[in-house]
Amino acid sequence: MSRHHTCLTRRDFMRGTLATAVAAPSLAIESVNAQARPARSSRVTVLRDKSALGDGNRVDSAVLKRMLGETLLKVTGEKAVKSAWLSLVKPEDIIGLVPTPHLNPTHQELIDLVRESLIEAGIPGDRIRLAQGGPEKPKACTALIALPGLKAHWLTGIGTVLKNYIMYSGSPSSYHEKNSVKLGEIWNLPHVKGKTRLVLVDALRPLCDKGPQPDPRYMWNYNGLIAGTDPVAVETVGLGIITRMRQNLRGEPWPLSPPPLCVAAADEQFGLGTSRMAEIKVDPIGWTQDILL
Amino acid sequence: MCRAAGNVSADLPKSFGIWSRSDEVRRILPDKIFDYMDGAGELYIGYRFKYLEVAEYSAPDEDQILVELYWMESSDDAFGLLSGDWGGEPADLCQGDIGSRSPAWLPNNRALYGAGLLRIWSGDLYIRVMAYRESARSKEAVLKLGRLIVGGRSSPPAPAFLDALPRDAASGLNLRTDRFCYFRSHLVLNSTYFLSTGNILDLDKSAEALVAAYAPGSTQGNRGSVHLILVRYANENAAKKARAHFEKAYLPGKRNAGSKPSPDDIQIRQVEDGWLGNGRSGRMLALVFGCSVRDEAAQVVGGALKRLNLLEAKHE
Repeated sequence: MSRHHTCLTRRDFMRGTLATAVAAPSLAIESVNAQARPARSSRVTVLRDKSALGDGNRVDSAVLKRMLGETLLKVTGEKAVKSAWLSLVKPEDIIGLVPTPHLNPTHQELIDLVRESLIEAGIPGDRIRLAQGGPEKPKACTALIALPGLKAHWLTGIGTVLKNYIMYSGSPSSYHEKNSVKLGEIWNLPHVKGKTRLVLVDALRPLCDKGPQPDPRYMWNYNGLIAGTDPVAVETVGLGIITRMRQNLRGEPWPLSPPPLCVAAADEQFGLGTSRMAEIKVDPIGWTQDILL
Repeated sequence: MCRAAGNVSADLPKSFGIWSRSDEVRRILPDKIFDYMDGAGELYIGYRFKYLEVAEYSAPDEDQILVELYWMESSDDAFGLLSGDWGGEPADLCQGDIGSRSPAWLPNNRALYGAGLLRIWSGDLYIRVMAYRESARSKEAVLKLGRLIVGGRSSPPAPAFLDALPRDAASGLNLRTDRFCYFRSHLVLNSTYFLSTGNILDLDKSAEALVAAYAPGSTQGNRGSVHLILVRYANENAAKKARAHFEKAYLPGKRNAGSKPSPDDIQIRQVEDGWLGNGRSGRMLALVFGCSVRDEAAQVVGGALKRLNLLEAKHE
């Protein structure tokens, strides 16, 4: 196949023919026929607390713990945090926590609180591990909890949920440049597929441009957690927040560039969930000022 | 007080005021930049990047200040990095004016500050000085450190290729002087104006390019900006191949009816987001996107090619 047939153009994007364009025969991917698919419904919880970040943007762990608990209850519909976790994972699971490790990393306080909360729910501590890294990490786990930080990414538009598993491919460079649209493919790899029980996005202090390298002009205190079990729906809600913040900053439309093609592809080509807001029920909880939903 | 320009080094002071750094300054070579900053490294690799030096300054009761010195092969490359974002407040670091060789519309900024981050173009050096937490004291320290780093360094003019950008691309289309970028990589282009996931303009480090937004005047309703892309390739053959690649990838099908099959003609096509024009002259390529009518696209590309030819004639 020539290189001309494997790249997407602005025209593909404008025409909305992304799925057709992505479906290059050489990709050996499981194609999902979006037309034949029944209507779907996903829920995404957006929980915010004005006091989550204190002076110097330091995390108030007590507040964050409350936020985590409330988020789990809302996502699962359970009445207690323990039963919420146990509806997502089993005590015999090997649970991998998958934070964003590097630039604009997931707040350590959130990672620690998730671990602590799982232990309080009866999961043995030795069955909870950090699982960011190469393919051996998810292979050693039976359940994964994705904990990415919300941020724009200068190469892929958004670099939050879908991109969080790029190291699981064992070949991250294979998902750079024009192949970044296929990030959803990684979630369908045999050692990854079906293991993600919860996507919990750290939206305490997101980055809406120039990511992953931090630029404080584009970081703001959103003081939120975004959670759900549908990775594409969670990504889509985060994407909306970033997009609205960009428009607020400039006072004019400021679309992400490049556009986050990987999100629609994760839906239409890889069948990971829905990227259509009409199919996503957003549950906002807590602080509503500048919620950007 | 400004120091006289001259030397080409950039010394990171061991200390200043209450701030000091460790003895070691980390040096990161191109093959290790992804270890340092993941995919962000592609931005610097997209220009002619030599190496990066990193240091952190600390002071009692203050959060740290991070200093990154990106050493580039030329002043043009360092300028390109600054041009990716013209936001922020101008910072006077005693670097001198942009210079009379630069186009009159060019912002007279060599350094920009915002929310704790100072970005500087200083000759072949692009600098980021960032306070992890902004305060009045940290801002003062960041600016002071910026002055110390660039003090005595020469301040070359902006890339001569900027002369190819017209202030007014066509009647009522005005250059947004805060929305243009000098680049060499399609990844950088895409971060400003998405064209394709592939490198359909065959860009590489031997080429230099500009992308600029032109805003319609207030009498033109609510239409979006027009975008102009100009590329100067290493030679005419590279430009020919790049144009053919672009047309095959972006404009599959026939050329516009009635056009002469001259290699240097201007092609105008209506696509999803308006009228698109592209033309080549020698090793120069000009492309315009988002025009409202055919004539506008033809006027913008034609005007751009004239300016490019003038630039070539001046050997700049």
